[in-house]
Amino acid sequence: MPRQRIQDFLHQRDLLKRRDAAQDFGVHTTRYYSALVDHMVVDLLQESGLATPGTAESQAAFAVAGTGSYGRQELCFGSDVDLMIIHRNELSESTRKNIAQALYPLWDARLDLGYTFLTAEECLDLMREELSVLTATLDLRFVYGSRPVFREFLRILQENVEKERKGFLDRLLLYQEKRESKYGKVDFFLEPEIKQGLGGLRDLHVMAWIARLFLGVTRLGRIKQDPDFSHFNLSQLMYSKRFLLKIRNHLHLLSGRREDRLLIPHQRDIARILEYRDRPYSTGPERFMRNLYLHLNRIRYGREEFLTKALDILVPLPPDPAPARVSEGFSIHHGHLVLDGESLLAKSPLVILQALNEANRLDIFLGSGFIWEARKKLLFEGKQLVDTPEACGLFLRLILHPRNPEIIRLALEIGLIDLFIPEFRRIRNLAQFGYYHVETVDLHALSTLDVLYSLGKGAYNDRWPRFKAVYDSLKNRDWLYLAALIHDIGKGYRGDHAKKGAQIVPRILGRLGVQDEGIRGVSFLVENHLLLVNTSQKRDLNDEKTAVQVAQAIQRPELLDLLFLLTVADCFATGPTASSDWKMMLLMELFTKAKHILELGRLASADATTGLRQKKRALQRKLVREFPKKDLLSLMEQASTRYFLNTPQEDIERHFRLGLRMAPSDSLRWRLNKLDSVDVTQVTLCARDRPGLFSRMVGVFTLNNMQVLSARIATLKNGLAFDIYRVTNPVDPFRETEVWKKAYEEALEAITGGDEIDARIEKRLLRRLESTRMHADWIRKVRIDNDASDFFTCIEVSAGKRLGLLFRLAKEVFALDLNIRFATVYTDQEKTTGVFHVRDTRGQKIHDKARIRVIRETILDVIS
Amino acid sequence: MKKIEIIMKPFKLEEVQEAVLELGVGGMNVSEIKGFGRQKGHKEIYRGAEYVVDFVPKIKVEMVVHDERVQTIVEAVMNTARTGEIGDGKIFILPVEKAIRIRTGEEDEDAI
Repeated sequence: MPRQRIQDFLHQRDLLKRRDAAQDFGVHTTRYYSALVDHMVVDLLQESGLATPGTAESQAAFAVAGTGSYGRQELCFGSDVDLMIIHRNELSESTRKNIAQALYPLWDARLDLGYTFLTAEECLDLMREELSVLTATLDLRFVYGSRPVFREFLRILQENVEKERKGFLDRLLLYQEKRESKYGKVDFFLEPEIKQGLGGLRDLHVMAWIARLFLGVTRLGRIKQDPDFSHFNLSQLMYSKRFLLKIRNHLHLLSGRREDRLLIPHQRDIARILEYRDRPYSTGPERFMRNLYLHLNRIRYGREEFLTKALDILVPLPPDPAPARVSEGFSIHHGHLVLDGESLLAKSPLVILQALNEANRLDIFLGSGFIWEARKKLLFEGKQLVDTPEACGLFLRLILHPRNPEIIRLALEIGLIDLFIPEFRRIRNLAQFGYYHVETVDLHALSTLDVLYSLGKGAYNDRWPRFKAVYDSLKNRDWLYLAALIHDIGKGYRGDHAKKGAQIVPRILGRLGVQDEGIRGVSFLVENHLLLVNTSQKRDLNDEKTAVQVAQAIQRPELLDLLFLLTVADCFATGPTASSDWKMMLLMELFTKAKHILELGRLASADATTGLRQKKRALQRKLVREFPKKDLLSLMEQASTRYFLNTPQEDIERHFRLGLRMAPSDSLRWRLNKLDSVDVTQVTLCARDRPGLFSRMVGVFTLNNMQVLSARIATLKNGLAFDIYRVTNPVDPFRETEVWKKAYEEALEAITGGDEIDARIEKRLLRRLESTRMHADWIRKVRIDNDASDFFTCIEVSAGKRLGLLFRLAKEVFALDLNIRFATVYTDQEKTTGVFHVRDTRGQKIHDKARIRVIRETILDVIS
Repeated sequence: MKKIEIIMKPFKLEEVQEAVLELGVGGMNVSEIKGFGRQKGHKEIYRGAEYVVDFVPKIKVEMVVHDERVQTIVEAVMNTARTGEIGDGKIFILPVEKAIRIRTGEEDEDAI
């Protein structure tokens, strides 16, 4: 008999699957399915020969009740069937066995059956230990047996729960908190858990449990009977519940078991089944997920709203001291802002904005009656509101001072933000993949606002005190908040969302009455809101060029401050991975370095930026015909901004020609140009940098009786040196060519060879130095500056002119294990001055005080 | 089998990853770490206030490979991760006793 019954059941279930798949699969299906199981359970128990409980034949009365999704009549195709068999401790062992056996065939129906025998006392004991037992009792539904036993059971439970109400409430809230932290992570955002996740069915269950336990409402659907919840947005929530149940059923069928996690392959399949078609701007699955997020976000918000209100009733906080002054027309009732006098419906819609601002200012929420009316009003009269400058002003004020995040969220929920910024609709409920987001784009924008506000209040001071320091120094704070709200608006469109967003900004802000300067500022911020993050993680922060390029792109110090804070807020609003210590440290380093470059002014000024661009373009134009473009660009990449800015155009061209012709076996190439008006030759050279190159070059010149009048040194990232020396011409004009040839050979030897050349130079020089007199020996200055640059230690030397001084100086500087990156040396009648930008051989600035002292003393020694 | 552990500058990740993948390495783990060696930290000065940064952000890449591959991989990493300046990082090579693929139970060479 049971076998046939099971077959019937299976057959009917199949029919149900096929029939409803085409239509709904929602609440109607789950109810019907639950009913099918009900009938089967009843039939099995009746046919089992168990005496009908409560009759004279059986002393032991019992009741079989469904719980869990079965109890809630939300049975999905993969759900378990959970039963509680309630009794009064009079059941014999054999009766229990019989009941169990009667239910056994349910396994053949491919239902995961779970059941326990419980008395009221046993249940109470378990409830105190396991929250899941408590919640199971809240979902109990009578299926078969003695109704009196069932009712008595519930009554006993209710009495006891009432006594221990606070304890149970606390545990429920704790459970909710744990859920939020577990499911609030990235992976659950990308592949949501329909039942347990945030905004999932469980949110609705929690609401129902609280309603039942504490508000005396048997079903959530009846909550509006409670006067405190008369305006609760129930119908929309129920609609969302139907949607989720539908998805859950499809998911169970697709995966063949109780899978509640909407994995990406499932997203595709379900989108297809539900016929979400591809559109120009989004694929079917994207549209499906967007719809899903609409419902998940809605349920989540509903649950937040519900819990806040419920807790207000159940655990009311001591009332805050009345705020100093509530604006006219408003008053505070039960801690919420309400309208004085007539209802909102009779007033101008402007009142809504005023109310939101007032509540925001006072950091309180609005009464739910008001909210309900506001939604209605905006629906019908919202459009007119948008055109008035007064309304725009009020809207802006709300956004620019987002003190109460719940109010801002409310503004979103009642459609206010969409009204003033229609483009915002494109990012509503939009999920975003990548970059560790845990929220849809619209909620992320609001979070960014919130982070900024908290930051300004010092919330991050413990770990990052600099944030507030920067925030306090801002003049155009408004731009920051505006940018925070719309920085990701471009995600609702195709293409690079930063660029697209910047394009849309003028339209949005113009509509709101923002000034041109502000529009430009916010556009810039939106367009570049990823610049700092990308640069800090993908480029070498130890290279001056990185900071210079960022500084040049931004130009103004305050814009850098704004961009920095926007970036920080964006990261923290995104999630913990995006705002890890690690990432913040890199960001901070880049910010500080770029800031210093901007403050110094030279390398990143507007002129410098334009000049740089012009020079590079001119260089390309000149050389692109002679050399492969790839090589040219690659070599340009190796040369620093300093080099380009400080070197005259034609010298740059000479260097690059030499550099591009350098074969791997070459160590030195140079070019000589005699200057017209004076007896000076310029040596433009490209060499493979090696320790002591500068001093050896100077040595070679000196050896050949050529006085070095000036020198400019630059080392490239790839190990080449681009130097320029201006030297006096060889004494004998007739033997010039020979002398230069010799000099070249010696220079080559100096570069490739070892220390012998050094020794030779030393010997020759020593002989001469004895006979030289030093000019202007009172000039003696050494300055070692570590603050001028984040990247180099700057050594300035002034000394009386003397033969071999430069060689000595260069040699001593090198011998101190210093690496000359840039140098400018100039000699006139009296003195020699040199500015050396150095790093130690490891590539760091010289920090060690003792070492700096040694350097200073050594140099002083040389120049005295 | 050997485990290769690379600690390097953050901005080098993409390059090193590409270079190593080109050599046919099946997979790797990447972590964001902070550390210091001889590079120590540095000081950042902002508006007259000094902030000492003790640890420097680095990237750690780990992979387990066949013994014969170690040499070429190390060379490739050296070529790409090097900037010549302090803080370039280090490579460690450790012996691996056993490797097991969880899904199939394959062991050792078959698992990597």
